[in-house]
Amino acid sequence: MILSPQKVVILDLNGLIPIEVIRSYYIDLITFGIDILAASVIIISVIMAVISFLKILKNPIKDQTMDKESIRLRLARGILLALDFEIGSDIIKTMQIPGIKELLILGVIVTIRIVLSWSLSKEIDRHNKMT
Amino acid sequence: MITLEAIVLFLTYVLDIVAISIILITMGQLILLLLRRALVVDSKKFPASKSFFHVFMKQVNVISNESTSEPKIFIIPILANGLLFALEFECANAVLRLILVISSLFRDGPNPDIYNTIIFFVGIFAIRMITSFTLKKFDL
Repeated sequence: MILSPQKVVILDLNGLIPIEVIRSYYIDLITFGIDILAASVIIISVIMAVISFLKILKNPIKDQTMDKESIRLRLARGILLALDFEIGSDIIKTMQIPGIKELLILGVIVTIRIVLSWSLSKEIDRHNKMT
Repeated sequence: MITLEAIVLFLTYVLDIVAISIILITMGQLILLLLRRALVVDSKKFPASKSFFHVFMKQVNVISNESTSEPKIFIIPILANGLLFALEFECANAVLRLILVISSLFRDGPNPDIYNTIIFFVGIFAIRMITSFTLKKFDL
């Protein structure tokens, strides 16, 4: 009886990229995109606020106070939107947390952002009720 | 080479300048308002017949009686609103800085700069909340 030599298939893993690297790459890419989006929202809001502020400068001072409040709250809405994007980005970043210290810092920052977000939304609601 | 950090740092400088400009403009407006108020003089104190005083009366806002006096504009709300408006820009600045800080947290690990930025953010946020709360509380 002649035994045919068995074919042994060895999977060569050296040439492959580990799944963690791919995941990390995509997480970095997505969070970078969200960060850019948040920064763009803030920049656009700031530019609009500055333009509106320059426009109201020729009004009487008493009218300016009311207009300033409206512009400020419009800017606050922009910051609120950017903060929401940032909170989303931070949540995605927790997937690749290197250590407990980083996790704690991130937790503190996210908590501060959530509190600021809540405060801004309360203020905007109050202003909407007044007007 | 232009990096994201450089762009954000440049933007934070621009935001600082905008905030300072807003405070300066508000202060300037208030000083002008106070000067105008200080120059309002009752006409009874001037002997209107004398031509010497006519020169001043053209420059100075002279009120003839109580009914025509301007309604008083409160100084504190104007100043507080200006400050709040400037603080909103600083808030935007802090949010932008935090974007950089979190990126560096993952890249280089924790460093003292992170704590400084967090303290700055909390400080700005606290002042903003206190000012806003005070304005609403005293109905200014």
